[in-house]
Amino acid sequence: MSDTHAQTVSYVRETMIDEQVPPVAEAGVIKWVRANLFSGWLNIFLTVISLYVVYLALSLVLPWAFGGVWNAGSLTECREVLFSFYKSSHGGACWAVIEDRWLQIMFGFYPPELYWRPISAFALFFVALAPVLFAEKVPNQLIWFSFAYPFIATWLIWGGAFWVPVLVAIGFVIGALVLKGLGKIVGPVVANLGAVVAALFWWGAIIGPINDGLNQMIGAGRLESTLARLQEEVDRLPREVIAMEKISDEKAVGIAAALDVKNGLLQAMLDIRIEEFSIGSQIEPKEIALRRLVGAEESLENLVAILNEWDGDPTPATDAPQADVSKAQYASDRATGLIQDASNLLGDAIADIENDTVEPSVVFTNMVTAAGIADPLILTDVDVLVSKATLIDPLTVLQVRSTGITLQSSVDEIGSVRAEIVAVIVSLDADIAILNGIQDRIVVSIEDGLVEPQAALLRQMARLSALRDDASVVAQDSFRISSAQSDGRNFLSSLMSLPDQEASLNDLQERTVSLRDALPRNQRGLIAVSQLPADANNDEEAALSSYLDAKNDELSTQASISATYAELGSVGLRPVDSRKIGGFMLALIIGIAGIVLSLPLGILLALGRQSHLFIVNKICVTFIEVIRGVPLIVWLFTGSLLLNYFLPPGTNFDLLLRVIIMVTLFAAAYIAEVIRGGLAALSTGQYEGADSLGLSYWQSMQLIVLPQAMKISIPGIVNTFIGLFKDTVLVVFIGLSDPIGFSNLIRADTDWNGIYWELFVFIGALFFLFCFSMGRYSLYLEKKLQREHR
Amino acid sequence: MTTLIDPPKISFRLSQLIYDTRYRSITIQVIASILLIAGIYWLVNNTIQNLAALGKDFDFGFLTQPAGYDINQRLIGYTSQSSHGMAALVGILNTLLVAFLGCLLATVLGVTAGVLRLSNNWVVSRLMAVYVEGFRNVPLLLWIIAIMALMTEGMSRIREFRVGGDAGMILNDSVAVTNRGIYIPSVILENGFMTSSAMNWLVLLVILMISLFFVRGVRKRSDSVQEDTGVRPTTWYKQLIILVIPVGLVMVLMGAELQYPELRGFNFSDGIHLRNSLIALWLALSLYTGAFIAEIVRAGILAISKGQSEAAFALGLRPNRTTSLVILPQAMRVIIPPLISQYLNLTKNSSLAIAVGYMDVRSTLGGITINQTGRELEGMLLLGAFYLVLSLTISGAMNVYNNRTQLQER
Repeated sequence: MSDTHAQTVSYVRETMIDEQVPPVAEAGVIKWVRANLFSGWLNIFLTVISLYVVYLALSLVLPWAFGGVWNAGSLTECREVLFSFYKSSHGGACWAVIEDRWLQIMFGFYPPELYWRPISAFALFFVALAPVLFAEKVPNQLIWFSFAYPFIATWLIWGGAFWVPVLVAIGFVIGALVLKGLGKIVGPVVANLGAVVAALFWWGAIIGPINDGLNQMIGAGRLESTLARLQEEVDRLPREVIAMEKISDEKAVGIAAALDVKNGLLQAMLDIRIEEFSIGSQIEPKEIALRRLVGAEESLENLVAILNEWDGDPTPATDAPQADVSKAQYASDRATGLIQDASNLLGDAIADIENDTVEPSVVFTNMVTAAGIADPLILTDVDVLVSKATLIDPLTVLQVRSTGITLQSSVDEIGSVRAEIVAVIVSLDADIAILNGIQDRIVVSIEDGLVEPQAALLRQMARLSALRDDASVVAQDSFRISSAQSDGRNFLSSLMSLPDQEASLNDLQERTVSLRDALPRNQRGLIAVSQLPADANNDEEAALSSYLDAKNDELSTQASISATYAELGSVGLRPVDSRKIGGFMLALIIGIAGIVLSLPLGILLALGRQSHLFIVNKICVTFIEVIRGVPLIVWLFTGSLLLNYFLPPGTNFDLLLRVIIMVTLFAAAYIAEVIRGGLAALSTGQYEGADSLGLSYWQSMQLIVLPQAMKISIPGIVNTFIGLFKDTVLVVFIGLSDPIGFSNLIRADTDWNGIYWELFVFIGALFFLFCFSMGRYSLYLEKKLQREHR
Repeated sequence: MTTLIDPPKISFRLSQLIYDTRYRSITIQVIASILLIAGIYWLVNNTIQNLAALGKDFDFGFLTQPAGYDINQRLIGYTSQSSHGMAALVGILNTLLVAFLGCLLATVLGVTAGVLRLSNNWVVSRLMAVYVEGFRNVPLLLWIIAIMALMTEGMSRIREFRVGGDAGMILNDSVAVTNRGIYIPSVILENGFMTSSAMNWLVLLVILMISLFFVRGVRKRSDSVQEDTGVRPTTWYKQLIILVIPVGLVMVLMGAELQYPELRGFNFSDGIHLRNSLIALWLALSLYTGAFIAEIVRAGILAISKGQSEAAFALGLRPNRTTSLVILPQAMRVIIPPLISQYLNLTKNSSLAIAVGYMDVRSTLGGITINQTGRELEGMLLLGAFYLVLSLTISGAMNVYNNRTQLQER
């Protein structure tokens, strides 16, 4: 068969055809678009819808964002600038608020001259992170810096004497030494307990006296020189304050002059646009009248609908059920209301045109004589305008007719009124269109004249904002000097009274002891009079209350003495109060502190949850589930409202510290779950291998299991951190000023009252930047780890 | 030759409690319990002392006292004369309402976005990526207050809805979007069988449940027919009829009627008023959680290896049956557990209602009630207990589901 076939074929190609260029539709961009965007009906539909959504969003956002105002001192000034560029108050963003307040959103009320401290703490954070994240690329010794970092960062941010963080750190060293020393003698269980007890003893009982002692030792030596310095400051600073006030007055004069120039420019532009506004004032009442006429027409339409439905006046049949009667009554009431509406609206429309508009001849006079506009097209347009009477006369007739309409009127009659209203609407509409045309022509004709003042206004706004920046620097200096003055005075007076206080302390102590001894034995531990049994008599109450007063006196004197010495003898950075910390800095501090502090607890909880020891396991499971089952905001309220109940009477500390404690406990539960995942991901061979080497539990955990499990858990920990970082904004509800709290504070300022979107966009963008980049980083880590484990 | 000698009997020594692993676990547990009890004792003792110093006691009696404050959104009868316990219940129902609505919308948004993000259509998948990343990386609180600001600042004022005003109702004059909230039509039953309208709705619900039961029967029957004959009977119209006709019929008998919102005086009356606070909280929670659900759905679908769908195609299954019979059942096993934990997160996040003044349980029990009675300890305990019970219930249900759908391994 193949033979015959070979014979019948007349032509066989002997060479291959050259490769052809694919058709246009099957190559390059077009192929991609066809394959990806328009491959089927559903796909085409989706593409069109999404392109429309993208267009809608961009057309809303881009002009607003890029047509914004950067230089302005208040929302009003922003609106002035926008107005002079023909934009509505929503037509452009007022970025000036960010320019004005971004430092506050970042740092809160932290003193500006000390910004370097949080910034360097943040930079050092990455150095401390390096040994954890890039262990193979950095020297091993750097891990010691990672251990020291929490103390350094705390010291940088809050300031204070340099030995406080050192003393706290020594506690950990003592704990480690005890663990090592005891571990060899009595085994790990007792050694662990001993280490914890030793460290707690150091922190609780030793640090305070050492700190006070150091303060007193250094302070006593400095007393003379400090007194001299303070005296000198008290003399000098008032003069400086006066000088600063003078400078700031000068600046204020400069700003006022610049404001005058700005207002002059605005006025000049208003003068140029005066005809535009006069036409605008004609258009507006006519547009209102038009809307009212449309409303009247609609009312009559609805009336016709009701009359048609009921075939005339809505009356129910005589034997109709109660429901029908009430329906008819309702329809009848509504119809009467509609007649009333129509008549009122016609009357209002007449009043609008009558009272608020002028004759076309007056418009003409304005255009030509007052403004001297000679555009012939405008004049022809003005000629076409109809007179007021042409609009009002038919309306007056219509109003009379509409008042005459009753429920018995025929539908045709109402229809004719409607038709005539429509006729007036049409002519009014045409009139408005002509006026709009005139306004557009005027806008075009004055456009060139406005360019120069517009540019001048922008320049003036920039100048004004430079002047204001100058003035705010002066204001900050002046504030710093005056607060230094008042601080110096207070410190001086407390130094003056220091000898007296020290002298009186002994007496106070003796008094307290004697009053305490006078009390019955069972009442000596009480902390409030209300704790006395109900049958206590007045003498007992008086004795207890005088003892409590004496004790309070003694404690407060002691506290004041040690505070004075702390200020006198401190060697280190200027202390900064927690209340001054806010904005993103606060979010970062809470987030980072929460994660770092929760890691040890989280590891312990995860190990406990895996443990076979029944009680330990149940304690850990309960802790984790209770913490995870309740929202963070409830824990934060617990921290701010209830933490004081759970601690020994009289303990009271900083709100920020309480928040960090609650956030740490909260994060620990989540971290524990992440690490449990890491532990579960290790093969049992690892555990068995460690056991077969004869390692103890802690050794095997420390050397074999945890290093691997932690490495697997890093992406999860980063994700937990992202979640926690976003959740830090919740602290606004317990009175800390995080970025969102600051957006409320800024809005409370009269200058920026009513500003929303600019602040939301700025804060949202910063959060997005942080969280998105961290999320990408955790994805990258996940991929890297997957490769390594293959 | 070796002889077996019994190991010497070692009597118990005290040091074994520390050094012998057999006894050490007991020692550790005893120490742990002692520490735990000591810690709890310390906390309770401090609390008792502090309470005594403040002259307070620990008493839940305030729950029966009249609350004295109004709650603007309530699902059950409540007046300012009702008790604090009742106020807490109203708050709990409001929390559950927004959580339920949020879970519904978040699932719809999340599944749509997750599936579309895997689409070959570049524009659509990019758009969904922007949505997901945009919402996941910005704090929920910011979205809540931004949507709230959009509602109060961006929408028309009610007086602009008057005749001759700027604004108009949408969807054939049935929905009014105002700066005080959204007004939608309500369904009223004019001549119901029962006296109270809640009972009427309950009757409808029962009928719907019965219909669903029969629909299930129809499905089961068509399953068995398919088992026997290999041909699945077409039943979708039967299911639809069973589902719609009885409920529809009863609604007609009850005189169901749409009541449109209508502007009377200074406000809309009739219809249902969805307050700004509810809308803002609901939308923000749904959009935020939806973004997370989208990622879960995407991961779930990607987790099914390509071989599964190829094998299904090789067996001759059509694409939609491949999805419903092969891909989805396996993907669901991956999707459901994290999905439930997202529902849990949404429920817990609903406590951010405080930002917009929505009266959830934290605002009533944990807010106004605590401020008025000064019972912060009791109030916070109850509040925590409520959230804890809710979470444990949901995660318990999740565990049951997990155990049922878990892959049966050797």
